[in-house]
Amino acid sequence: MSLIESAMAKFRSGAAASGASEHPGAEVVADPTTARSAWAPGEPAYVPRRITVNMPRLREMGYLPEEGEDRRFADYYRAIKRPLIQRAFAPNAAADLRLILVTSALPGEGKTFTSLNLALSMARERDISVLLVDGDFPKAEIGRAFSVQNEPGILDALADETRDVDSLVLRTDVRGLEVLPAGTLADGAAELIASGRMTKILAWLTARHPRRLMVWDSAPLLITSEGRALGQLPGQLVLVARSGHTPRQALLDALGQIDKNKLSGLVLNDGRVTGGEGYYYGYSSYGPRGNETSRAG
Amino acid sequence: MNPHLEQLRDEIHSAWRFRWLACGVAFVLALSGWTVVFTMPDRYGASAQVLVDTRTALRPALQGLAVEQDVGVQLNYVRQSLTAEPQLRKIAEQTGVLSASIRDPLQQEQLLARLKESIQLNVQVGDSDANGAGSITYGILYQDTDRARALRVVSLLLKTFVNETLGGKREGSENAQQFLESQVQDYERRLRTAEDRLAAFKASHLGLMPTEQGGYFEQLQKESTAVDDLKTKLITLETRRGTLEKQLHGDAAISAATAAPTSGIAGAGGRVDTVTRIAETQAHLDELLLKYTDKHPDVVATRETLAELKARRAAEIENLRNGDANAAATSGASANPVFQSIQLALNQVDVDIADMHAQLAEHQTKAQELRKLLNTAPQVEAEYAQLSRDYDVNKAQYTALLSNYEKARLGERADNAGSVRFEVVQPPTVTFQPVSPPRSRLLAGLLLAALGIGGALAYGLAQLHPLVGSATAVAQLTGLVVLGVVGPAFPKATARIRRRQILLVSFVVGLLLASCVAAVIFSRAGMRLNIPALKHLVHL
Repeated sequence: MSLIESAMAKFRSGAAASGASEHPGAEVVADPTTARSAWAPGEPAYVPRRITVNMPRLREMGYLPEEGEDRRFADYYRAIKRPLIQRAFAPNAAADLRLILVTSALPGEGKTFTSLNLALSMARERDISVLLVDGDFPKAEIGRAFSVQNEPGILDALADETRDVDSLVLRTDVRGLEVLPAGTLADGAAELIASGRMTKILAWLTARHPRRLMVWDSAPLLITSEGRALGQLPGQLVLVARSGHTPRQALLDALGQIDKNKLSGLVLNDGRVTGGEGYYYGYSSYGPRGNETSRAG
Repeated sequence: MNPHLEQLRDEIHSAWRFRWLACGVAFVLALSGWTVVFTMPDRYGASAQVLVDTRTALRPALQGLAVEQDVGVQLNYVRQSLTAEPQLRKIAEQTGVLSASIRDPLQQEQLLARLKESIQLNVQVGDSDANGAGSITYGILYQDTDRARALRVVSLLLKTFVNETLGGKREGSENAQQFLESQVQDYERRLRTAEDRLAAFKASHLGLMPTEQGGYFEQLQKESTAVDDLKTKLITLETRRGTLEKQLHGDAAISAATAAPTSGIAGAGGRVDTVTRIAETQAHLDELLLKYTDKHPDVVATRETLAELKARRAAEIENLRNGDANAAATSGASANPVFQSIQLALNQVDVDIADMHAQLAEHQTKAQELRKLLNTAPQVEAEYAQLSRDYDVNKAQYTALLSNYEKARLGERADNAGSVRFEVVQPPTVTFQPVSPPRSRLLAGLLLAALGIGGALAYGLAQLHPLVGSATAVAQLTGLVVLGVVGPAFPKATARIRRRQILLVSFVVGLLLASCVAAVIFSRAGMRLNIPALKHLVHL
């Protein structure tokens, strides 16, 4: 049984138990069993919150591929995540390389889809965990995908210096996956991102969890100032483009906005997988068809 | 998958985002084009056909006899003259195309130019025979917005066409005949004067004219030759005569006279020649000697007689040698046949010589007479030659002209009798239904053009704003590493959406097609729009 399947099973039982909940997709539950009372001295004690991931809902909302495409997509992201992980955990690698920003030139190119699926794929790695950060502040799509758009998030931590960012991280029932919502949008988000507090928070987040990758969903580079501001922060950048959708000129313009040294590479969505299709079809004919789910990579 | 097909799919995919723009443009273009088509005025087509047959029953019969007229060239000439400015103006004025109210020369020019454009002449050449003669069918076509006027124009064109051809031919032929006639008369006159001159000359120089034997110099030559000839012959004859004479008095004759005693003849003639007598006397002597001695008187007498005879004989021979005729006779040589034949030949030669002398004298006189004319005769002769040459030339020309003239007259009569036949195959007719503009075709064509332009616009815009395509293209474009290509996440949903889009676009295009069909039906039913501004545009 795969992790997601177990997670889904768990979600279903949980949803059945809780009955009519405020958020049908996920619910935030105080989990006393995982409370870390002995965190670090002087830190405020908090109860880590847990959410359940509603996979059918994600699929319905278009954040997961259609049924029947899971195995293929597992393979796509397996190929994409490998060089990113290698770069982040290379010997003597800088701490900020564990911060991966997924961005694109224009909206609608599949940033959220990519970051979510990439994070899920990375979470399947045995010895690392993933923190999926909703950096697309105006839209907060990750938040909506996990039904946590009203939860306090990174913006709250930026605005309120007394707030511990770690206390805002939401655990999920998917092993190795944590979610940090965007939080409440205030004016001057771009300035907040560019502030020293942001750097501090990031340093804190990366330093505290050396085996944890951060995947940031971000706003479009050419549309929002937040997107550009975020682009300066991370060690690794992944630029998303969509075949048959992104104008070539927009892609080139976006490239002009970012530091090319930080750019780990491009992800082409909706593309034609040349030569692979035959292989995939042939391969899938061996296994069970239909509601197929990916296995841990 | 075929790379070309793949590229095509990519390009269609790329242009797909401009589909509504393309549809809109197509709609606007088609509708505005159709509006123009609906305002175009109806044009009626009038036509007529004339068959011009240059191959009739008469032609083979007249082959080589009559001057043939090049009808093909004439018809071409008519073609040109039909659509020439003055002719066209005449037709335009008569049919009302160019109404009298139009005074502006520029406008008139425009109207005439339009008329010229509307008139179409076509030629169908039927099978022609070896001489290039055959049937040619001329078609006259004209289109006009006014049905009656179209018919009028074609009728007038047809009339002009036939008249021009006939009239043109007649005129040309008449000119040729007149020319021929005047030439014939001219030559006749000249011939007559030449004839007169020649006759007068002949009369004044009677006897000096060259005869059948030839001219003056020829005659003179002949006489001189005859004289020389006769002289040579005379010399030959004289020589012959000398030889014969020599033979007659020579040794041969003498030996003949002495050696051939002919007792028979001598006895018969009663006269005994000397030789016989010598022989007899010798014989008698020999006989006497047998009986007597030399002293016997008989013997002596006989011996004296013999001596006398021998002396006589010697004298005779001497005489013969000297040519004495009597001597011959006496000597007995004349009785000899050889001597006689020589004598005969000698006599013949004498006669010939006398004849020759007479002839020579005659020819010499003639030659002398001719030599006296040495200064005048050649001159007369040259003059005569010139005169007769003039006469001959005139005569030849006159004969040729006369025959040509007769041929031309025959040809003209043959043409009138139907050597070239005009037949109005199709009298001027006009269609009941307008022939132009081809509305249905225009409507359909405009639809296709509008769709094409719309599609081209979408394609062009897609080319101007290219999208990110394949991974390799992106890598080439940015020079960056492509971490991975993610396939379509929602193939089913995408296909569903795409299907809906295609359906919608098809619906719009179908709507346009249906409108086109409706427009064709309406146009067939006679629906027209009357928009003055657009009409002006159409006329331009």
